[in-house]
Amino acid sequence: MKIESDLDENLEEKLEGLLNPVAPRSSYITELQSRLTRAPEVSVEYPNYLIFILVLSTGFMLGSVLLFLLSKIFRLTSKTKA
Amino acid sequence: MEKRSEQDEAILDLAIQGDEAAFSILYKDNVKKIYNYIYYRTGNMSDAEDLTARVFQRALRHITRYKKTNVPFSAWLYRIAHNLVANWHRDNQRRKEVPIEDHIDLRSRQDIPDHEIEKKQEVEGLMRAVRQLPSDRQMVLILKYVEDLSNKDIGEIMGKSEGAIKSLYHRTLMDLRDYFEVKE
Repeated sequence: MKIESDLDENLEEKLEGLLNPVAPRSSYITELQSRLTRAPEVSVEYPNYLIFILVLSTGFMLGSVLLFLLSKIFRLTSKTKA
Repeated sequence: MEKRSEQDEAILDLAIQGDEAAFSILYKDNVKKIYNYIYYRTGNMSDAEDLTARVFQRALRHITRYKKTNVPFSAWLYRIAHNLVANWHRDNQRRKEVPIEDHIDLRSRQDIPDHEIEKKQEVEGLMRAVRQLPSDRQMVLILKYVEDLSNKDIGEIMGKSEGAIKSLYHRTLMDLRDYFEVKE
């Protein structure tokens, strides 16, 4: 019984020597804290409708001018043929 | 373990309501404990850092569902840590385990005196023996020696009576003793 308790004490001493608190890196602690409490920086980008309308209307205008010029050219050539 | 003061209660209440500053205080009070527990359960710094971060991220996500009882708040965090470590062990069963001491001692064995090598081998053997214990016994040892908690406090954290912890601790010592007797 005495030997058993001596063995336990010896083992407890060894455990005491082995299992000591370890300090995490201080940079890790602060970094994790800011990661936990900081709101995620997400910016939502909405499509720019103004540019879309501008491009579409410019295209429409250019198309109309081109169509007008082509029809003029077509009419002139058909008149000269006649 | 001291009972929660009124201020601690107020901080916990605020954290449960989703107050980030209050959670930040709880984090500061508990991060080292949780890190230590995970460090001794995994045996390396990088996994301890990764899992500690996951414990607090999970705690932050679920704190609004936390039910206040007489049990310390850290018990809840230890339970999260315990589950994450169990998953980690399950996922890494095939991975080779590198002892803690290998990270610390970078000198070659030739430079170390014989008595230091013997001591180192003894430490390695004991650490290996501790890691082979069931998780609840490892937890008792970590809380007892690293956190320096009494059987009563350990019981509160683990949801067991003081007597149950006392007998669990003695069975743990017997297991460790048997391990060394078999080895010798």
